[in-house]
Amino acid sequence: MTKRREHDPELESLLRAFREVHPTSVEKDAWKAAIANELRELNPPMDRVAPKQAESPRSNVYRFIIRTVVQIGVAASLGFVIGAYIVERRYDLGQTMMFSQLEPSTMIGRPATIDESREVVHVNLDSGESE
Amino acid sequence: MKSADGIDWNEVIEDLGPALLRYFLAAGFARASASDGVQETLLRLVRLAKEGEYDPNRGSPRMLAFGIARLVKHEFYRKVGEHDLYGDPKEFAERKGSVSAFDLGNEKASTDTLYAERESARNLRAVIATLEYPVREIFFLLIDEELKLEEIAGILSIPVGTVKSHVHRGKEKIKLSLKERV
Repeated sequence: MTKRREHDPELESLLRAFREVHPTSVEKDAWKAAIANELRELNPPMDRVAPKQAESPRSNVYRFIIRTVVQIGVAASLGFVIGAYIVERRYDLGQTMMFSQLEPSTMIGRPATIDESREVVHVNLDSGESE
Repeated sequence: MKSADGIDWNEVIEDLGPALLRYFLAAGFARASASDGVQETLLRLVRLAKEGEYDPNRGSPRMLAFGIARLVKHEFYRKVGEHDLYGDPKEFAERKGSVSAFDLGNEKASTDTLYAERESARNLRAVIATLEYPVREIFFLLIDEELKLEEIAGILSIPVGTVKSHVHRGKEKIKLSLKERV
Protein backbone atom coordinates (compact mmCIF):
# COMPACT_ATOMS: atom_id res chain seq x y z
CA MET A 1 0.00 0.00 0.00
CA THR A 2 1.45 3.33 -1.03
CA LYS A 3 1.67 5.93 1.69
CA ARG A 4 -0.14 9.08 0.66
CA ARG A 5 1.68 12.36 0.63
CA GLU A 6 1.16 15.00 3.28
CA HIS A 7 -2.38 16.35 3.05
CA ASP A 8 -2.67 19.92 1.85
CA PRO A 9 -6.36 20.97 1.97
CA GLU A 10 -5.75 24.14 -0.02
CA LEU A 11 -4.00 22.27 -2.80
CA GLU A 12 -6.63 19.53 -2.80
CA SER A 13 -9.43 22.05 -3.17
CA LEU A 14 -7.59 23.71 -6.04
CA LEU A 15 -7.10 20.43 -7.88
CA ARG A 16 -10.59 19.13 -7.11
CA ALA A 17 -11.80 20.13 -10.54
CA PHE A 18 -9.39 17.64 -12.12
CA ARG A 19 -10.12 14.87 -9.64
CA GLU A 20 -13.72 14.65 -10.76
CA VAL A 21 -12.66 13.15 -14.07
CA HIS A 22 -12.95 9.35 -14.21
CA PRO A 23 -12.31 6.91 -17.04
CA THR A 24 -15.39 5.40 -18.62
CA SER A 25 -15.89 1.65 -18.77
CA VAL A 26 -15.34 1.82 -22.55
CA GLU A 27 -11.92 3.41 -22.02
CA LYS A 28 -10.98 0.85 -19.38
CA ASP A 29 -12.06 -1.99 -21.66
CA ALA A 30 -9.95 -0.55 -24.47
CA TRP A 31 -6.89 -0.41 -22.20
CA LYS A 32 -7.50 -3.95 -20.99
CA ALA A 33 -7.86 -5.23 -24.54
CA ALA A 34 -4.66 -3.46 -25.61
CA ILE A 35 -2.73 -4.93 -22.67
CA ALA A 36 -4.15 -8.42 -23.29
CA ASN A 37 -3.09 -8.15 -26.93
CA GLU A 38 0.39 -6.99 -25.92
CA LEU A 39 0.73 -9.85 -23.44
CA ARG A 40 -0.29 -12.35 -26.14
CA GLU A 41 2.38 -10.97 -28.47
CA LEU A 42 5.03 -11.02 -25.76
CA ASN A 43 4.13 -14.49 -24.48
CA PRO A 44 3.02 -16.70 -27.39
CA PRO A 45 1.04 -19.81 -26.34
CA MET A 46 3.09 -22.94 -25.89
CA ASP A 47 1.40 -24.85 -28.73
CA ARG A 48 2.68 -22.28 -31.25
CA VAL A 49 6.25 -23.03 -30.31
CA ALA A 50 7.67 -26.13 -32.03
CA PRO A 51 8.10 -28.92 -29.47
CA LYS A 52 11.67 -29.81 -28.69
CA GLN A 53 12.62 -33.20 -30.13
CA ALA A 54 13.82 -35.87 -27.75
CA GLU A 55 17.49 -36.66 -28.28
CA SER A 56 18.87 -40.20 -28.34
CA PRO A 57 21.72 -41.20 -25.96
CA ARG A 58 23.96 -41.91 -28.95
CA SER A 59 23.70 -38.36 -30.25
CA ASN A 60 24.58 -37.13 -26.76
CA VAL A 61 27.75 -39.27 -26.82
CA TYR A 62 28.71 -37.95 -30.26
CA ARG A 63 28.11 -34.42 -29.10
CA PHE A 64 30.28 -35.01 -26.03
CA ILE A 65 33.12 -36.45 -28.15
CA ILE A 66 32.99 -33.63 -30.66
CA ARG A 67 32.95 -31.00 -27.93
CA THR A 68 35.91 -32.66 -26.16
CA VAL A 69 37.90 -32.97 -29.38
CA VAL A 70 37.25 -29.37 -30.30
CA GLN A 71 38.26 -28.20 -26.84
CA ILE A 72 41.47 -30.25 -26.89
CA GLY A 73 42.25 -29.01 -30.39
CA VAL A 74 41.78 -25.40 -29.42
CA ALA A 75 43.87 -25.85 -26.28
CA ALA A 76 46.69 -27.62 -28.23
CA SER A 77 46.77 -24.93 -30.92
CA LEU A 78 46.91 -22.23 -28.30
CA GLY A 79 49.67 -24.08 -26.43
CA PHE A 80 51.68 -24.53 -29.64
CA VAL A 81 51.44 -20.86 -30.51
CA ILE A 82 52.40 -19.72 -27.02
CA GLY A 83 55.24 -22.27 -26.85
CA ALA A 84 56.61 -21.21 -30.23
CA TYR A 85 56.51 -17.62 -29.17
CA ILE A 86 58.42 -18.35 -25.94
CA VAL A 87 61.10 -20.39 -27.75
CA GLU A 88 61.55 -17.69 -30.37
CA ARG A 89 61.79 -15.06 -27.73
CA ARG A 90 64.39 -16.97 -25.74
CA TYR A 91 66.46 -17.61 -28.90
CA ASP A 92 66.41 -13.89 -29.75
CA LEU A 93 67.43 -13.03 -26.20
CA GLY A 94 70.35 -15.49 -26.34
CA GLN A 95 71.55 -14.07 -29.62
CA THR A 96 71.42 -10.56 -28.27
CA MET A 97 73.41 -11.46 -25.16
CA MET A 98 76.07 -13.34 -27.10
CA PHE A 99 76.67 -10.57 -29.61
CA SER A 100 76.62 -7.85 -27.01
CA GLN A 101 79.86 -9.26 -25.47
CA LEU A 102 81.68 -8.98 -28.78
CA GLU A 103 80.80 -5.39 -29.40
CA PRO A 104 83.83 -3.08 -29.17
CA SER A 105 81.88 -0.42 -27.43
CA THR A 106 81.73 -2.59 -24.35
CA MET A 107 85.53 -2.67 -24.18
CA ILE A 108 85.83 1.10 -23.96
CA GLY A 109 83.90 1.25 -20.81
CA ARG A 110 86.09 -1.21 -18.94
CA PRO A 111 88.23 0.15 -16.05
CA ALA A 112 91.95 0.41 -16.73
CA THR A 113 94.06 -2.34 -15.13
CA ILE A 114 97.72 -2.27 -14.24
CA ASP A 115 99.68 -4.94 -15.87
CA GLU A 116 102.18 -6.08 -13.19
CA SER A 117 104.11 -8.32 -15.55
CA ARG A 118 105.08 -5.39 -17.79
CA GLU A 119 108.73 -4.47 -17.49
CA VAL A 120 109.39 -1.00 -16.04
CA VAL A 121 112.25 0.89 -17.67
CA HIS A 122 113.75 3.87 -15.83
CA VAL A 123 115.82 6.23 -17.96
CA ASN A 124 118.41 8.57 -16.55
CA LEU A 125 118.16 11.56 -18.81
CA ASP A 126 121.32 13.23 -17.44
CA SER A 127 123.71 10.37 -18.15
CA GLY A 128 121.76 8.85 -20.98
CA GLU A 129 121.99 5.40 -19.38
CA SER A 130 119.17 3.19 -18.69
CA GLU A 131 118.73 0.98 -15.57
CA MET B 1 -5.63 -10.71 -16.54
CA LYS B 2 -2.28 -11.80 -15.16
CA SER B 3 1.00 -11.95 -17.01
CA ALA B 4 3.59 -14.70 -16.67
CA ASP B 5 5.38 -12.76 -13.94
CA GLY B 6 2.21 -12.61 -11.81
CA ILE B 7 1.30 -8.94 -12.34
CA ASP B 8 -2.46 -8.36 -12.22
CA TRP B 9 -2.91 -5.82 -15.00
CA ASN B 10 -6.58 -5.23 -14.20
CA GLU B 11 -5.46 -3.99 -10.81
CA VAL B 12 -2.78 -1.80 -12.39
CA ILE B 13 -5.42 -0.29 -14.71
CA GLU B 14 -7.77 0.39 -11.81
CA ASP B 15 -4.96 1.87 -9.75
CA LEU B 16 -3.09 3.97 -12.30
CA GLY B 17 -5.59 4.47 -15.14
CA PRO B 18 -7.69 7.28 -13.61
CA ALA B 19 -4.65 9.22 -12.35
CA LEU B 20 -2.89 8.92 -15.71
CA LEU B 21 -6.02 10.04 -17.55
CA ARG B 22 -6.27 13.13 -15.35
CA TYR B 23 -2.59 13.83 -15.93
CA PHE B 24 -2.98 13.80 -19.72
CA LEU B 25 -6.18 15.84 -19.58
CA ALA B 26 -4.54 18.42 -17.37
CA ALA B 27 -1.57 18.55 -19.72
CA GLY B 28 -3.87 19.75 -22.49
CA PHE B 29 -4.85 16.53 -24.25
CA ALA B 30 -8.32 16.13 -25.68
CA ARG B 31 -10.27 13.28 -24.09
CA ALA B 32 -9.62 10.73 -26.86
CA SER B 33 -5.92 11.62 -27.01
CA ALA B 34 -5.65 11.42 -23.21
CA SER B 35 -7.14 7.93 -23.31
CA ASP B 36 -4.63 6.98 -26.02
CA GLY B 37 -1.85 8.43 -23.88
CA VAL B 38 -2.90 6.26 -20.93
CA GLN B 39 -3.03 3.19 -23.17
CA GLU B 40 0.44 3.87 -24.56
CA THR B 41 1.83 4.38 -21.04
CA LEU B 42 0.28 1.11 -19.84
CA LEU B 43 1.64 -0.78 -22.86
CA ARG B 44 5.13 0.50 -22.16
CA LEU B 45 4.75 -0.67 -18.57
CA VAL B 46 3.82 -4.14 -19.87
CA ARG B 47 6.96 -4.20 -22.01
CA LEU B 48 9.08 -3.05 -19.06
CA ALA B 49 7.53 -5.78 -16.91
CA LYS B 50 8.48 -8.30 -19.57
CA GLU B 51 12.08 -7.09 -19.33
CA GLY B 52 11.89 -7.36 -15.54
CA GLU B 53 12.11 -3.61 -14.98
CA TYR B 54 8.61 -3.13 -13.60
CA ASP B 55 7.14 -4.75 -10.52
CA PRO B 56 4.12 -3.09 -8.87
CA ASN B 57 5.09 -4.62 -5.52
CA ARG B 58 8.60 -3.22 -5.53
CA GLY B 59 10.03 0.31 -5.58
CA SER B 60 7.78 3.11 -6.76
CA PRO B 61 5.63 1.92 -9.66
CA ARG B 62 3.73 5.24 -9.77
CA MET B 63 6.95 7.14 -10.22
CA LEU B 64 7.89 4.90 -13.12
CA ALA B 65 4.41 5.15 -14.65
CA PHE B 66 4.34 8.93 -14.49
CA GLY B 67 7.89 9.13 -15.82
CA ILE B 68 6.72 7.15 -18.86
CA ALA B 69 3.54 9.25 -19.13
CA ARG B 70 5.67 12.37 -19.24
CA LEU B 71 7.72 10.87 -22.06
CA VAL B 72 4.57 9.87 -23.95
CA LYS B 73 3.23 13.39 -23.50
CA HIS B 74 6.37 14.95 -25.00
CA GLU B 75 6.35 12.49 -27.89
CA PHE B 76 2.74 13.41 -28.58
CA TYR B 77 3.61 17.11 -28.55
CA ARG B 78 6.43 16.51 -31.00
CA LYS B 79 4.14 14.47 -33.23
CA VAL B 80 1.42 17.09 -33.26
CA GLY B 81 3.99 19.79 -33.80
CA GLU B 82 2.13 22.33 -31.77
CA HIS B 83 0.56 22.23 -28.37
CA ASP B 84 -1.48 24.54 -26.32
CA LEU B 85 0.54 24.69 -23.15
CA TYR B 86 3.07 27.25 -24.17
CA GLY B 87 0.84 29.64 -26.02
CA ASP B 88 -2.46 31.35 -26.02
CA PRO B 89 -5.33 28.81 -25.93
CA LYS B 90 -7.48 30.84 -28.32
CA GLU B 91 -4.70 31.20 -30.81
CA PHE B 92 -3.98 27.49 -30.56
CA ALA B 93 -7.62 26.54 -31.09
CA GLU B 94 -7.69 28.55 -34.31
CA ARG B 95 -4.77 26.63 -35.79
CA LYS B 96 -5.78 24.02 -38.24
CA GLY B 97 -5.30 20.42 -37.17
CA SER B 98 -4.20 21.26 -33.66
CA VAL B 99 -5.42 19.22 -30.72
CA SER B 100 -7.02 21.42 -28.15
CA ALA B 101 -7.96 20.39 -24.66
CA PHE B 102 -10.02 23.54 -24.30
CA ASP B 103 -12.52 22.45 -26.86
CA LEU B 104 -15.40 20.63 -25.23
CA GLY B 105 -16.89 19.52 -28.49
CA ASN B 106 -20.37 20.47 -29.58
CA GLU B 107 -21.81 20.62 -26.10
CA LYS B 108 -23.66 23.82 -25.51
CA ALA B 109 -23.36 25.77 -22.32
CA SER B 110 -25.89 24.64 -19.79
CA THR B 111 -26.44 25.02 -16.09
CA ASP B 112 -26.04 21.34 -15.22
CA THR B 113 -23.43 20.14 -12.74
CA LEU B 114 -21.38 18.28 -15.32
CA TYR B 115 -20.87 21.39 -17.37
CA ALA B 116 -19.96 23.38 -14.26
CA GLU B 117 -17.37 20.77 -13.34
CA ARG B 118 -15.92 20.75 -16.81
CA GLU B 119 -15.89 24.51 -16.90
CA SER B 120 -13.97 24.67 -13.62
CA ALA B 121 -11.53 22.03 -14.86
CA ARG B 122 -11.05 23.99 -18.06
CA ASN B 123 -10.39 27.18 -16.12
CA LEU B 124 -7.88 25.43 -13.89
CA ARG B 125 -6.17 23.87 -16.90
CA ALA B 126 -5.92 27.24 -18.60
CA VAL B 127 -4.43 28.79 -15.47
CA ILE B 128 -1.87 26.01 -15.00
CA ALA B 129 -0.94 26.32 -18.67
CA THR B 130 0.20 29.90 -18.01
CA LEU B 131 2.68 28.78 -15.34
CA GLU B 132 6.29 28.36 -16.28
CA TYR B 133 8.26 25.10 -16.26
CA PRO B 134 8.68 23.17 -13.94
CA VAL B 135 5.79 24.61 -11.86
CA ARG B 136 3.32 23.60 -14.55
CA GLU B 137 4.68 20.06 -14.69
CA ILE B 138 4.62 19.78 -10.88
CA PHE B 139 0.93 20.67 -10.82
CA PHE B 140 0.17 18.10 -13.53
CA LEU B 141 1.83 15.47 -11.37
CA LEU B 142 0.13 16.67 -8.17
CA ILE B 143 -3.17 15.59 -9.72
CA ASP B 144 -2.34 12.07 -8.60
CA GLU B 145 -3.07 12.05 -4.88
CA GLU B 146 -0.81 9.07 -4.28
CA LEU B 147 2.30 10.58 -5.82
CA LYS B 148 4.57 11.94 -3.09
CA LEU B 149 6.60 15.14 -3.41
CA GLU B 150 9.80 13.08 -3.24
CA GLU B 151 8.61 11.03 -6.21
CA ILE B 152 7.68 14.16 -8.17
CA ALA B 153 11.16 15.50 -7.44
CA GLY B 154 12.58 12.19 -8.71
CA ILE B 155 10.55 12.29 -11.93
CA LEU B 156 11.63 15.85 -12.69
CA SER B 157 15.19 15.35 -11.37
CA ILE B 158 15.02 18.39 -9.08
CA PRO B 159 15.44 18.66 -5.29
CA VAL B 160 12.39 18.12 -3.02
CA GLY B 161 12.87 21.56 -1.50
CA THR B 162 12.51 23.12 -4.94
CA VAL B 163 9.29 21.16 -5.53
CA LYS B 164 7.89 22.38 -2.20
CA SER B 165 8.71 26.02 -2.92
CA HIS B 166 7.23 25.74 -6.44
CA VAL B 167 4.04 24.21 -5.00
CA HIS B 168 3.75 27.03 -2.49
CA ARG B 169 4.29 29.80 -5.03
CA GLY B 170 2.22 28.00 -7.69
CA LYS B 171 -0.77 27.77 -5.38
CA GLU B 172 -0.72 31.53 -4.82
CA LYS B 173 -0.47 32.20 -8.54
CA ILE B 174 -3.30 29.79 -9.38
CA LYS B 175 -5.59 31.25 -6.73
CA LEU B 176 -4.92 34.76 -7.99
CA SER B 177 -5.46 33.80 -11.61
CA LEU B 178 -8.68 31.94 -10.83
CA LYS B 179 -10.00 34.96 -8.93
CA GLU B 180 -9.19 37.19 -11.90
CA ARG B 181 -11.04 34.82 -14.22
CA VAL B 182 -14.10 34.72 -12.02
